[in-house]
Amino acid sequence: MSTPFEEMSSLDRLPHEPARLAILTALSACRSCDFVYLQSLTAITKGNLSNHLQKLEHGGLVLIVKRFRGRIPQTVVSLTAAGREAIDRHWGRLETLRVKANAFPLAERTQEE
Amino acid sequence: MDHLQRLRYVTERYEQLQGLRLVPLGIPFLLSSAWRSGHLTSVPWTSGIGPRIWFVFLVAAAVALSLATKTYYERRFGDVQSALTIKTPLAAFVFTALFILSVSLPRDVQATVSIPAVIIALGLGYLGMVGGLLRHHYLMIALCVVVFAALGPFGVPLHTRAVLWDELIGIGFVVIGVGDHLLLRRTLVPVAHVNAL
Repeated sequence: MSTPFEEMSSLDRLPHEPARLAILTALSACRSCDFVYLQSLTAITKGNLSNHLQKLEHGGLVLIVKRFRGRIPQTVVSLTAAGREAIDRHWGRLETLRVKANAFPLAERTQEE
Repeated sequence: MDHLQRLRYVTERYEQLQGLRLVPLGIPFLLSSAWRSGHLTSVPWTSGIGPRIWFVFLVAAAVALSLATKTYYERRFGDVQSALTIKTPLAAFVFTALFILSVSLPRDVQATVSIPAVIIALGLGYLGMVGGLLRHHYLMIALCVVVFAALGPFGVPLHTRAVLWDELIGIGFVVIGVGDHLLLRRTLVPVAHVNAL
């Protein structure tokens, strides 16, 4: 049986990277939000955010729509059904790992070390 | 994980947390309180129906300013389309129904605890408690409203209570507005700052 720490290394890196986890978590709490909001949420540069969004779009987790609001261009991002399922599953796994790590016996931890 | 939960909370309530939109609404009530205490006698049209016209004009101006402030938030922090849930409208409906019911109850206004004020305090307390006390400033105002509700049995005259009530509403709008704005500001980084890095 694997330890919680071994299980942690098998987490899906696409949603687990910190900036992408923040993006997906925020998107799971709304219908959609624009690029500016995601930038103020993650505090990363436009280029970095674009890269992360591209990866999430290629992974089928988010949908990106470019449109005009009056004369101002706006990039709107929302979760796909697969994205919603992925982030819920990922949060579930993190929660399980947290519980398992807390319950992991100290003796075994010392042995591991 | 706590930070991510805060991100989730702020995203869910992004429009509600645009606190600076509430602040102008406090001004008409603070001025009304000053007028009731007799501090604005030198201002024109403060007798007869004048004060009512002033009040309606100031509330309309505050609403217009509040709408304009939405643009400020959109430019600084972006735009969010909130998720459609039954929870928020249901809570608003229950609160409104309880408030209307409490106002219609026959009671001795002069000497009893103000039930409508208690209902308002409960509503504010509820908002302050959800989400891990992130909006603890609501609890502070809720406590003040509870103290106000209990003034009747202590024999505080109605006129004094009217002055205090206007003052409490005005201060409440300002404290809640600034508190919500600070919560947003602690969670989100203005895009202009990010781009300047």
